[in-house]
Amino acid sequence: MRLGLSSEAAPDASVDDLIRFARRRGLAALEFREGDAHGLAAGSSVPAGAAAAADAVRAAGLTLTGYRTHQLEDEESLARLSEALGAPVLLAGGVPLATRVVRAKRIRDAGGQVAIVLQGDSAVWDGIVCHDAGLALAWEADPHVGPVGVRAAPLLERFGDSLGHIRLIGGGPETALQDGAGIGDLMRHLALTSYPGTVVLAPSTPRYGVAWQHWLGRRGGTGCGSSGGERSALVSLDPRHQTGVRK
Amino acid sequence: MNRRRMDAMKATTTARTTAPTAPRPEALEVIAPDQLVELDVREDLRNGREPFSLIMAARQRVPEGGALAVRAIFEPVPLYAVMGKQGFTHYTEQLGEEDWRVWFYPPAQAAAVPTAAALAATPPDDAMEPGLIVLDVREMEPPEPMVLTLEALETLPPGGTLLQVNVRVPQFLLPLLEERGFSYEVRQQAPDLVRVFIRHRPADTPAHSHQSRGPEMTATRTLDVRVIPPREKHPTIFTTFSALAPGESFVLVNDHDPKPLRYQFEYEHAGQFGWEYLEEGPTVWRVQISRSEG
Repeated sequence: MRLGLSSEAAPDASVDDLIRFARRRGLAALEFREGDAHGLAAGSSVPAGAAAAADAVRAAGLTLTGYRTHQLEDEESLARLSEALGAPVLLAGGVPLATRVVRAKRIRDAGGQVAIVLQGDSAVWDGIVCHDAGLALAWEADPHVGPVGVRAAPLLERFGDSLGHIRLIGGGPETALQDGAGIGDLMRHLALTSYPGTVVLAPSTPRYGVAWQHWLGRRGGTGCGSSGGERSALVSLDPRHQTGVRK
Repeated sequence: MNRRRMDAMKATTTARTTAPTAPRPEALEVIAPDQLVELDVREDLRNGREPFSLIMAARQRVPEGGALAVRAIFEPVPLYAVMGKQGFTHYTEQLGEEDWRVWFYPPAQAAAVPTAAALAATPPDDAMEPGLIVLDVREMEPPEPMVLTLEALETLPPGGTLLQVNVRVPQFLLPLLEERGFSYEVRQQAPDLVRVFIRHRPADTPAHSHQSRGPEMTATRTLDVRVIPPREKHPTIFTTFSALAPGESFVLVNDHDPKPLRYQFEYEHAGQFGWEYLEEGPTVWRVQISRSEG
């Protein structure tokens, strides 16, 4: 198991910057989300840029764990992008599951790697459909849906050999706010089942963008205030987390 | 459920059905009441609880030739395939806006098409080769197929072939095979029958290029506590340690030297644990924590 970083944590960052952030935090993998500033997208000019990005990631000793998309680009382009990246296309929500399954099969048939992202309450049900279709799976572990450890157990039990990518919503600078969200349970499950894939960290909301910038080392490096060092810059607006905050 | 209650439910169906429903099949009508198992998972679904294990437990209670009736708040389409694999066909009624009932029952006649089991029982002609070891993992639960396959490969003689029979392409096994110096050939012979032929890769044959390879996988037991809220870290680590059998271990990953944890181990598990640093900063610390034998 390895921890990774989603480009969603720094949507305006280049590939080189994302590599730097991941290494600074000791993270071993990167997920590229469609539409972020890394510049990768499905299209006719994809392979050269994508292959260069993939090479840069690997040269830095990181694993490129997937390209997350929820758009409806044509499957041929996504397959080419996957080939160039040497990583699966992660088909996320926004499109009905049946449509995603059909698209995933087409991407696979066109030579690409692909996984369906399971989300929300129906993750196990959707997983059964995808698993029966012989497709690889990814899972969005979102504490807002419910305790992630409880939700992970049936997924790992049923789909452990097909599940290689987990996206943990929160983590990073938000970790301290996730008491009781079941993340300890989740990590214990992953350890005891020898989960071989990646857990990618992504912010729960853009509101925490500044906190993520601090956490990734993009702010606070020089000048007044830099002595704070590794202190979390996260300020929660949730009154449940106000205990101990200096008034 | 008695016949009167079944009739009452049937009447309710007629009164409240919101979608056109085909007539109830004859094969279902002849099922005796004592052969019917009912399960209502609507409250579980409304409360976000996963009902799959309940449904599978109820299915185990269905007698030979009997039926299972499941009530849900949506049409449980994925269940059709799951139950279909176990020999059940289904009949669906929508009783209300968020009220569905699906009857799973044995079909009147078995289909005459060859099953995956029948196909799997007959190895293809070119599989009949000397030194062939067959490992059928179709009935196993993850991660057992991967673990057993990798164990079997450790003793695969040069020139030998391991044939793994699976219900799907073992996508996360394939990169591990490459890492370990094996070549493989995947043959999907039916929707739920895949044969994977695994052999030692000849010395002059390169591994697949990275374009055809998935993300690298590490199958070690790894507990990365960097994402765990501070208050939950030590309890999670000790719970994980408690689940180890003697001789087993896991790798703890942290963003600082976990010295206080070691002190706690020495206090609570003196003589029962091993502690070996695999990496010591500056960004990441990795410690192999093992449970001592005996």
